[in-house]
Amino acid sequence: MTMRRSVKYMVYALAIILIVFLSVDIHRLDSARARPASEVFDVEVYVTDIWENYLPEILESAVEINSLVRMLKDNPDETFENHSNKLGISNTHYFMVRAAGVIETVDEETVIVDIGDNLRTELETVYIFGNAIREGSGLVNIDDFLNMMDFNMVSVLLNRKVKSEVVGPFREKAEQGMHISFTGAAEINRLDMQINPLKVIPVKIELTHAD
Amino acid sequence: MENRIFNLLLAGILLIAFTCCQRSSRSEKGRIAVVISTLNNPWFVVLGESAASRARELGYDAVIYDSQNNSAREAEHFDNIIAMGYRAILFNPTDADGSVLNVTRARDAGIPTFCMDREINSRDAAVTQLLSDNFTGCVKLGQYFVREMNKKGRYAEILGLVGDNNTWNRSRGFHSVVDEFPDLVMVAQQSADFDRNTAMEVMESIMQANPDIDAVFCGNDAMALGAYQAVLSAGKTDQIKVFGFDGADDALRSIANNRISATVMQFPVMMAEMSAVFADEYLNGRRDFDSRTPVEVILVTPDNVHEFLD
Repeated sequence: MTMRRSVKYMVYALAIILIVFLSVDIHRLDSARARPASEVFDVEVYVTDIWENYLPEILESAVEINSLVRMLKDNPDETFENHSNKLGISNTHYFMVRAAGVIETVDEETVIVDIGDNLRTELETVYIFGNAIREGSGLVNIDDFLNMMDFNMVSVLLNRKVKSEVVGPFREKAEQGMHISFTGAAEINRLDMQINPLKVIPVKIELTHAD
Repeated sequence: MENRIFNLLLAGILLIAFTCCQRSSRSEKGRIAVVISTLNNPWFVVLGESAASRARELGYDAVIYDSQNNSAREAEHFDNIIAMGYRAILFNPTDADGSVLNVTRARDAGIPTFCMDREINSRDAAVTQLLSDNFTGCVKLGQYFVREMNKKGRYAEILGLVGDNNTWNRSRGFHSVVDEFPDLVMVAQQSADFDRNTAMEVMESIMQANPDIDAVFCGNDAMALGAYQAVLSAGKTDQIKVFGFDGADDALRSIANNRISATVMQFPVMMAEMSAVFADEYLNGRRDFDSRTPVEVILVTPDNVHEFLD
């Protein structure tokens, strides 16, 4: 009798454990966020498409930094209006820029390039973050995204592409005195213009040894 | 007798005149509802009152509703707002997914909604969503964090509400930077629901399990102040750096006093006032709104905190 009761209790206990086990679904906290759209939006495919098919054409029309600096000094309002993009309510403007010059120094986090006219550019090689490429290119429309998370992931992946496909190979070859031409993205705050040196996230780099 | 009739007539005329005047001043432009996720947090009180105040300046009656972080209560508010024929809703949602239905119901009833500070996962339910650019703010904070930590150390993260997109935009922005530095190791990640006391308790348990951590990143300033309280009680203020987000007055003073390392300044008053202005423009015929209007935020450190202190 006691034996039969024990078996009965064990069956009950197993049933309860089974119900609890099947009812609970454990995930990492950072995967628990609300993201219905992310599951249908493939950000990697989207970014690869931009990188391969649309960005090269945008790079062709990048403004030359030496001209940009002159225009910002002479007519800042028109220059911001004609050559930059900005996101929402903000004083930060994003530009696609290009220049050519000579590498002055290569340090742990940046490469400084002398681009003439007493101007220097700081090519970022470690701190490649933020929205400069996404916004500077003007290729990505916030209205196409269901939420800010997906929109922001575009920047993250564009920056990763720069790091792996542009900056990685560049850092292996870059040496003081080399000739360089580059195109990239820069951000300039309208209320606090830091333009010499201008910090640039490079998207395309060509290096040649000095003669 | 004649006097009494005269007095009654006079009183009646005055009452009618008063009622008419009151009605014309109250309903000339109609009513705008301001629905706030919670009024327990001073940050949201500022958001709600600023929105209501600007709406009144623009000629509307404004009524503030407190959802008490409860999506069922928020749905009840929307039921009432739709039934009472409000002209627009300035809305701070409780849940990125759960609040979409409420906004859609209002839209279908012809009432435009303007989200403030918190996002809903929809392109077209709300007219527009004015949101702090949380991700970019935390990218800046993340870079400062990396430099302050000399690119190495063990840290914890205290998250806000798990169902709120702001929580994850901040976390994602921060990790988009910090995760690129392999010697910075996150040893704990827990939610404290944007609440100061909860964050203090969470931080106490994190420090018990990880006595050697070097820093904690908190998804808002209330939690940063709670975490700092726990760090102070444990006598580890020299060991553990605390980072927050919001630009709350207490946090700014703590940065000036070298208690908290940095925060990110948001502009709730501006967001709230712009939402009221957008609602007014919409009701006057404007239709060219972006689905979202991010608002720039600013990194605040000991170097620039003086610019933000009174």
